[in-house]
Amino acid sequence: MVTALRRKVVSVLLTLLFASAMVFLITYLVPGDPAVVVAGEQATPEQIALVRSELGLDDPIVEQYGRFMWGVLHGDLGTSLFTREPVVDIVARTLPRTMELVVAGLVVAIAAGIPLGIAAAMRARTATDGVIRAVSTAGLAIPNFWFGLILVSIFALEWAVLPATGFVSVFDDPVEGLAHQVLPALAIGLTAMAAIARQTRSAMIEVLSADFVRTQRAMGVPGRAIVWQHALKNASIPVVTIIGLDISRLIGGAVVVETVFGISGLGGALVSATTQRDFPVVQGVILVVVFLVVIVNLLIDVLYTWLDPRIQGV
Amino acid sequence: MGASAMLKGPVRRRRRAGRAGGRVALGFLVVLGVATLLAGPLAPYGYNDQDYDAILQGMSGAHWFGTDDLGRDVFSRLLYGAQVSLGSAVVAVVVAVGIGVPVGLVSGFVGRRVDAVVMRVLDTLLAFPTILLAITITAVLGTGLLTAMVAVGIALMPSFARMMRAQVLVVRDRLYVDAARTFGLPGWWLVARHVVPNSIQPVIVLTAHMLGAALLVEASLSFLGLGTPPPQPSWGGMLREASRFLDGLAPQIIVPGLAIALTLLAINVVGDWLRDLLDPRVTSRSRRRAVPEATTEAAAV
Repeated sequence: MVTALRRKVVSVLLTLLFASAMVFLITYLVPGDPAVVVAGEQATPEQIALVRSELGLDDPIVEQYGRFMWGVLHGDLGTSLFTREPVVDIVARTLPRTMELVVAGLVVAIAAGIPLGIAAAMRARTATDGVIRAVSTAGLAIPNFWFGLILVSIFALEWAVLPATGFVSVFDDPVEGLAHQVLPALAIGLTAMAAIARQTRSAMIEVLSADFVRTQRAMGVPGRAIVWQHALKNASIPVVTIIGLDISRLIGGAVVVETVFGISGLGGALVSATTQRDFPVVQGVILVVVFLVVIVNLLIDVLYTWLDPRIQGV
Repeated sequence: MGASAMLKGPVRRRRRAGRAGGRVALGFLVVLGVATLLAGPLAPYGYNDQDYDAILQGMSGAHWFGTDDLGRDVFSRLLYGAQVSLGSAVVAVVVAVGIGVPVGLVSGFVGRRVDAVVMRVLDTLLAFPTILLAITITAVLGTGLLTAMVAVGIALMPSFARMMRAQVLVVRDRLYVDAARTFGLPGWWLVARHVVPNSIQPVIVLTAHMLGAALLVEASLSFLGLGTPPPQPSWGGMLREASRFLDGLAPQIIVPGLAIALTLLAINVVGDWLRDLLDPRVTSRSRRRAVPEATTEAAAV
C-alpha cells in the first residue's frame, strides 16, 4: 500500500515535470519569432528587442527553463506582457471564483446524478428508467454554454427570478452567492450529471444482481439499507472513476460557461491572454489547472483504496 | 444457428431498439450532410446578406428562424455554418487520427524506452482539460479557422494514440504475429499485414465518438471568439453573436444550439450502434461493464 502510493506520487511528480516542460516550450512552438508575434507586426526593431529580452529569449534554452522552473517552485509565474500584473496575482484573483463554480457544478452533478442513476437501476427497463436514460443521453449532447444561455434567457430575462450575470461568493454572502451561482452550476454540472447517472445506473444494475445482495435480501435486510449502504459502496468505484474524469471536464466547462455569465474567472483571463498572445499568463493559468487536475486524480486514487481495500496497485 | 438467434430475448430486443435508434440517427446525419453540401442552392439568402430593415426578427415565412443583429437570415447562416462546424470537426478528427494512430502504433510496437517516454507525454497531455489544451494551442498558433481545426485535432490526438497503443500491445504478442516473425518477415510488414488490421476496429468506434467531441470543442472555441472569425458563420460563432443581444428565448439563441445538440446526439447514437455492430459478441451492457462507458463519455468534453 505504502509502496504503491509512493510509486503513484513519483508518477504524479513526473507528470508535473513533463507538464511544466511542455508549458515552458509553448513560446518555442510559436511559428516565426515569438517576440515579433507578441510585439505586433508594426513594432520597431527596438520594441521587438525589448520584448525578446523581457521573454528571456536571448539566453540559452536550458538557462531559460531553469529560471522558469525556479520561478514556478517559488510561486513566481512571471508578469503579464500587457497589464504588467504578476501572473500569480491574476491566478489568485480568478482561480477561487472558477473553483467555486466547479465545486458548485460538481455538487449539482453528484446530487442529481447518483439518485437518478439509482432510481433508474432499481426500476431497470421500466418507463422511469427510460425517461432517466433519455435525459442523461440528451444531457451528454447539450453544449454547456448553450444550456447556460437558455437558462439565462428563461430564469433571468423572461421570468427575472435570478441574476443574469456577475459573481458573488457564497462565503461573502450565502443568499446572493447561491442566487448567482445556481444557473452557472446547472450549466456546468449538466454533462457531468448525465455521465454520473449513466455510470451509476449500469454499476448498480450489476451490483444488485450480485450474490451478496441476494443473500442479504434472503436474510431480511431492508431494501433501502441494501441499496444505500451495501450496493452503492460496491458500485462506487466506476462512479468515482467517472467523477475523477469529470473534474477535468468541469474545469473546462467552467472556463467556457464563465463567459456566458460574465464572470471574470480563470477562463476570462485565459481567453483574453490567448487573444492578446500574452504568453506568461497563458502559461501560468494552464500550469495551475494541470496541477489541480493531477492532484485531484491522486486524491481519487487514494479514495479507491479506501473504497475497495483489495485495490493495492493503484 | 445464426448469432442473433442465440441471443436471449431482452438482449435481442435491446439490440433491435439500438438498431432503430442508430438508423434514425444515421438518417439524420445523412440528411444534414446533404443539406450542408447543398447550402448554396438551399439557403434562401447569402450568409452575409444584411437587411437593416429586418433586425432581430422572430420566425416568419420570409425568415424561418428569424434574423440576427445585422438582419442576416438565421436559417441561411445555419446551413452555411454547418459547412464550417461539421467540416472543421471532420478535419480535426483527421488530424487527430493522422497523428494519434501512428504515434500509438510505433509506441506499442517498439516498446521499451520509446513507449515509456511517449506514454508519459500522452498522459501529461491527457491531464489537460481538452478545451483548455485547444485554447493553449490556439494561443501558440494564433486564432482562426485553420488553427482551430489543428488545435482541436491535437487536443484529441492522445485518446487515439492511447487506444491504438493498447490494441497493438494485445495484437503484438498474438501467436500469428510471432509465427510471422519467426519467418524473418520485417517489422513494417508485420505492422501493415497483421497489427494494423487487427487493432483498428476500436479506433473506428472512437473516431465516431471523437467527431462529436471535435464538434463540441470547435463550437466552444468559436463561442469564445477563438475559432471561426466573423462574418463567416459557424454554429458556435452564431451563439456568440446572439448572446450579445440576449433578450429572452429567441430563435437566434435556440436554433444554433439545438443544431449542435441534435448533431452531437446523432453522432453519439451512431457511435454506440457502431460499437455494438463491430463487436457482436459483446452486448452494450456487458461492454459498459468492462470499459466504464469510456467511448460515449469521450464525446462529452
